[in-house]
Amino acid sequence: MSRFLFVVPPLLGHLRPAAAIAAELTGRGHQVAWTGSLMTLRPVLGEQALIYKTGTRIHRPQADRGLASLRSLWAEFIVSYAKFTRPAVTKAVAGFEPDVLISDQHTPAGALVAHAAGLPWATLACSTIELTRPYRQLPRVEAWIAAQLARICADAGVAAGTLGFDLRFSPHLVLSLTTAELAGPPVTDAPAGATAAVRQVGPCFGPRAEEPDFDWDWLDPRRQLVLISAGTLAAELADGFYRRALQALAGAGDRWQAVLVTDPASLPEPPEHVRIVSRAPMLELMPRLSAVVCHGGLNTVSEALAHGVPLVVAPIRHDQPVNASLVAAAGAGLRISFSRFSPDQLRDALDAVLTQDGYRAAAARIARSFTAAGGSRTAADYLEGLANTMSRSASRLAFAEREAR
Amino acid sequence: MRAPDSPVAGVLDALGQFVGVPVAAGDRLETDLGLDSLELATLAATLRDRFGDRVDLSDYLAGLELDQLIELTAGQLAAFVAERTRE
Repeated sequence: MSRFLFVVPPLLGHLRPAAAIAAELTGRGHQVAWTGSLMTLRPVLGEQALIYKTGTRIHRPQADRGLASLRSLWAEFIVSYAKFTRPAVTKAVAGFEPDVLISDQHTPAGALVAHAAGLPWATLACSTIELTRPYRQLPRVEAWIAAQLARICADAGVAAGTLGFDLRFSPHLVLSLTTAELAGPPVTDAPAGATAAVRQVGPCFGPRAEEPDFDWDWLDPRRQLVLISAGTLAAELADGFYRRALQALAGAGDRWQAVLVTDPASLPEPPEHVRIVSRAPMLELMPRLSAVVCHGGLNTVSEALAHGVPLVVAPIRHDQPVNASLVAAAGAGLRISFSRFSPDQLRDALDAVLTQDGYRAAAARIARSFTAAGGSRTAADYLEGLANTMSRSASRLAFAEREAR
Repeated sequence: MRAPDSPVAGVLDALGQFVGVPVAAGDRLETDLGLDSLELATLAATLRDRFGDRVDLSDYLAGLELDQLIELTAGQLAAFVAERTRE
């Protein structure tokens, strides 16, 4: 039995896969604890979870896109959150005495504290952005990110050069929640060797909280079912997206049914073949879907692909443009411009992924790679391996020290 | 006064065709026109085809800081093309 401490950001897309891995670990008899924002973690992790709270500093939903979102992610969240939470993470390590610490790639306080305490630690990469090097053509952007990492080190009183590793990449283990079939081999702007410990374990899906009700009788097996979800979007962005989506669906009632996941009050009354629900029973719907339209968050993309469902992706920020391109390059869907797609373009893209066989076949190929990668089970195997190797080498070291005396 | 086929007007026209709406010199590529860094790579090829090999957008972008890239306008892009095509 080992103890695992997760250091995570207050972001649902990062919490869900971490919770799935944690559930696998506790299922094997290990102990798990968390550090993070109590307000965000408690509803996702449940009443039983042991949470060392860091205090809440909410990363508010942003309206910015692309490089502007990269700037605000680092300057307004990652850097300040690392500084703000480091004392709490240090306390959690002292209180819980973990064998292994798991640090989300975007909460490097975990990496700093583990390193200072001499603990074995793993990086959890819930995003593709640090493992696909999307800014390789923009060297000054990569230099800017390096400067943010140096700032995080300086805030902790550490000279970045003396660490011997990049805060985003544990030298022991980096769990990447995708596969080479979708994302290719890992590449990075971090110093050489940073990706040596990367293991692509595929997406990690856990038990979801109660699934909401749905009018299953409405489903018509003669028509293809499409799910349209843009996740948690700033309202002013979401509104235009769903209005254009509704227009794209307008003339297709004889062939398609569509579920739009957003606040029904924000849109006009939909036609017969469209349902607008504030929450959808994603896992129950997935096997019945013929296509998913989304903004390219890795969880939604992975859920669709795991069920062999092709995608139309309209990305906005963070790793979404990367994910959209990966899906398109793998042949499992199409990428459209979130800002500029017209209803006609969305209808044509949907028509293509729904009627041409190649997209579904490519999605099925990626689904097989996910199954083979093993997800949470494989992630837990690697984490157990880290706990065992490190405790063995620690006891060997203790033995050697005793002998020397 | 600028000729209608001046590089500046030509770039604004090329950009307008690329994004599907008329483009003004003050429009920011990312925030206002919704171009992401990936689409900029496609745009680079378009501009090279239209204005010649000396117009190397990737090279120009590689020299810009993050803040400059976020604020980059259609007019600045046009000025860069104009400078590279002036001989």
